[in-house]
Amino acid sequence: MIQAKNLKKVYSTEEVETTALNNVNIEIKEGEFVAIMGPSGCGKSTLLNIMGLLDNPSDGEYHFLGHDVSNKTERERAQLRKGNIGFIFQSFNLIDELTVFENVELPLLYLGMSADERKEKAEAALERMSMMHRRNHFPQQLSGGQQQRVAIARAVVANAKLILADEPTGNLDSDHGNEVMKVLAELNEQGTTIVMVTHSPHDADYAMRVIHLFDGHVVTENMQEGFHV
Amino acid sequence: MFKNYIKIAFRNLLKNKSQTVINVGGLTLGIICAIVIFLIIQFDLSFDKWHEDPDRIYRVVRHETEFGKSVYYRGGPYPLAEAVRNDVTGIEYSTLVFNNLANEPIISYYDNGNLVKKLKESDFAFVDPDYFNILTYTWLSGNPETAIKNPNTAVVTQSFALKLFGTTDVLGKSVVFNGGTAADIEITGVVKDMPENSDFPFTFIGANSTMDRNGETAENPSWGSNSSSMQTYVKLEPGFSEEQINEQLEALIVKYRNEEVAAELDLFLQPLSEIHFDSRFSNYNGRVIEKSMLLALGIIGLFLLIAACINFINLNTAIAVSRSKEVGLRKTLGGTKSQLMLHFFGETAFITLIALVLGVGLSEIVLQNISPVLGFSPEMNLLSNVELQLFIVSIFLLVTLLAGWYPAQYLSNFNPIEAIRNKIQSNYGRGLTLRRGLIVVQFTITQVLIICTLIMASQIRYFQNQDLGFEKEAVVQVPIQNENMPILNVFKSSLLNKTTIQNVSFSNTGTTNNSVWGGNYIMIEDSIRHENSGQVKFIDENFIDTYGLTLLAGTNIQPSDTVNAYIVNQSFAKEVGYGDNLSGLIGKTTSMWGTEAPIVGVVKDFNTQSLHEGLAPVLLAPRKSFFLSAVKINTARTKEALGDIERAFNTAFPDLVFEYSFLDESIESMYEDEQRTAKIMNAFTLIAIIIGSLGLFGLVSYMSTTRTKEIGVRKVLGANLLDILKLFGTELALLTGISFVIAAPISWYLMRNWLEEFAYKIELGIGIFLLALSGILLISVLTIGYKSLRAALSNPIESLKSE
Repeated sequence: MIQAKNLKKVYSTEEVETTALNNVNIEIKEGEFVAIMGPSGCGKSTLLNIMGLLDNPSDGEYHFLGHDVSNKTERERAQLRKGNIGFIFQSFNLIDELTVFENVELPLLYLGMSADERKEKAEAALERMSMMHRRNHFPQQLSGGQQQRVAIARAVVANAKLILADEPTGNLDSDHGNEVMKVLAELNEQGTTIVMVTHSPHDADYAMRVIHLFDGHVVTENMQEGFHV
Repeated sequence: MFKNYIKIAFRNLLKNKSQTVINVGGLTLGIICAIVIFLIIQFDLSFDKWHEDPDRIYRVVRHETEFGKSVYYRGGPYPLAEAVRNDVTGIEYSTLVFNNLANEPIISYYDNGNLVKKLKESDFAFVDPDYFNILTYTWLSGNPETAIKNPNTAVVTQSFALKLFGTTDVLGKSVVFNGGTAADIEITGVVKDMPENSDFPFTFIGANSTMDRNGETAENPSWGSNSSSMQTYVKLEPGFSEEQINEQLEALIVKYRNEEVAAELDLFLQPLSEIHFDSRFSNYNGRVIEKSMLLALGIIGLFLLIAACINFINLNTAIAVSRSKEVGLRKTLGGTKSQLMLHFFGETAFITLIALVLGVGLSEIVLQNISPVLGFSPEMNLLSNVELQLFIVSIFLLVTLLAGWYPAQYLSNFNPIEAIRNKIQSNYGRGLTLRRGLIVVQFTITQVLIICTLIMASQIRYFQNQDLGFEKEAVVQVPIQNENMPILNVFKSSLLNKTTIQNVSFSNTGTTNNSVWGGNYIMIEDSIRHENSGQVKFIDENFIDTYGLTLLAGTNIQPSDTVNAYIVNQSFAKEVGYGDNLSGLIGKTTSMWGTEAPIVGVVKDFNTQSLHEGLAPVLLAPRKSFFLSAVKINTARTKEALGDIERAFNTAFPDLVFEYSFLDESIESMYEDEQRTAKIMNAFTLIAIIIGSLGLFGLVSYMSTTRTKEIGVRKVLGANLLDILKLFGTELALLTGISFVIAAPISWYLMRNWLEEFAYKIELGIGIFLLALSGILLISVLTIGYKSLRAALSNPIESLKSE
């Protein structure tokens, strides 16, 4: 599903050049659950942004679903992103002005689905996350765990093949965190590929494989016990 | 998708209430101005457009060269209309329109010899039968072809019929025109009133042959006598051009006068469509508006709308930061840039729509209250006014595009990664950012309006305080129409008996009047011939005292029925070479209108017309030619005095209708146009200030919240209150300064042109500009003061804690 070859990302200002990723080679197959770990500033988020087609690498190749997307325009990347990739953020990032239902419905709107279809899918996603009873609430009326469940519903509503999660439990207490991790594991069992950035070894235990980044390099890749690629 | 945009737009509006009020309020104000100005312009452009074949209708006007000066007149000689009809090829119809405004007639309705009602009617005209073939009327009764074919017939309007007779069923009824000296006039037709947008507001249209037969049209119906009360209107045959007719008009002068006159006099056609707009000539409506004024009005409207859009742009880009997360998310979830642009456009369109609905509704209210200021009442008629509908749709598109494009572009350009992490900061970049540029544009518009308004106000104040050379206070003027000296003397002496009255005088026009009598005076001395145009006033022996003129040399005139002496003014003395030797002029003879008489006195110059005009040589002479009485009253007992005048008037002149005006008020009314313009400008300036202040307030409130942390850090590091206030104030002062530098020369140029109309005008000194500058600075300080002070006084601990 994902092949990254010699990925490099350099941020440059007038005076300073910062290399965020350096010769990163990663391959992720469909159905995998991969955790990316590493200290702050090691390039985790940059890698996730490139994987999520939000950003282009400075150098190297990046293939997503067989497409070489290393040098695509923002518009082309947006087209490929739609429906294929779902995002989950540490701070949930729900739109405050929209209700739970409307937030979940949003990706479908951008896919140009009919109202009936949107309703059906959004309700199914909310049902799956047990959030149907809150469909008409606004994000501020929900607990953190509930907000993250809505965000997951939003990520899966368009049947995304890949879910990118950026510290999904970072803003949650351990009970709610576990709940979210279980949901992710379930999704993975049902066939969704998941790539998760995390600081928490506990969360990383849910993954099949852990990639450690340090200063823009991949330092180790560990297969988790009991998991097979 | 669009439903989603509207929904989120609506929730955003409710969430940011103050911002909504500023956005919607400012836009609404701008839209009201735009709509009202549109309707004013539409109204003025619609004048007399509905007549049949309006492009074939013309007025014959004249241009003369008088003592080297080019002068334009709307009137011509009495026989012109008939000569045009008979001698000029290409004329389908031609009519004289006779309407002597100096002489407001009384129209009385008698039933079986008993007076039922009498009216003073200034909107009267005597015309040839062709008149109704040239201008289009809607006939309620009577036959347009024959109605005024015979003498002593007249057509009246519906409202006149109702006013005089109480009914419109008036065919065959008779009225007495002007005190019964003429034969009874039979009403032979009733027409609908001319709409308000016509320069032909006549209510009583009589057969010209009536006046002809009674010899009242002109004292001398010859080609040599021209008057503005004798105008000629024609309708060309199809296929003839203005030039073809103009050539033949020139030949008429040669035919009926001579080559010499023709060299200095041109007759030419003025299209009907120009009568409302060409200020070289007046019209019967009394209001001529130059098309350049309409253009200026349109530009003001556009600028106010732009100023409102600028608020919108500035405020929305400023708060864009707080929406960056939303933008980032929408992009991450698959929204493309164009979808987001559309989204933000949708929001702007939604706000514009709200402002538009409010604006249209409020414009209706404004229109209902604006007619006292305007002098006319444009109507909206939203459902039937297709042009207005198109205009409103254009405003909607223009504002949405103007106000929406930049914020939409700005917001949808956010990088999703940065946006989602709240890394986008509002940019207070140094140098000329777009926002600063827009504020400068807005301030410039406001300052130009403020400066212009101030200059207009001081010009009007200057008019009011100018020494006119006589005492304008406590003089009541009463129109009279009676040349019977014994009766006039009864009126005068009965007034002088009252303790409320100080003096009484009769004259043709008083000191200062819109109506000017004049001609060429001739003074021959040592075989040097002085000839120049001058004004003449026929007065009695009380004139100088009643009006408080100053006699500088010689004596007053003695009572006389005919001209036997002249008093002249300083300007006259100067023109004939006695400017420094006034008493030397006493005893010399001069003549006006062919009457030679000695000069017995010289008076200090006084203004005989509005201050648009300069001083002119004036000759005062005794002659029994009185249309106006002036009564100097005891101001402590004004009300009583007015009662005394009315009683004396009604006793002396039972057939006349009593009317009076205070001289100072009549003079004031000569500047109605300027006062009207000033009032309209005041309103627009106020609106510009409100729009500007709203925008500034919104911006500063936003700045103070987003910069709270910066202010906190600065205070912790030792900044005092003044330092923080400077943070807000310096930039504002700088922008005000820049816009002043742009606005000052623009308004100087505009106002110098405006002032050129006046013979008496203020000097455009630096003071008025500085006043405007301090005005806008004060307004700005008041606007931003509260918010910036609150930000500066906030406890730094509070603002830093949130981090």
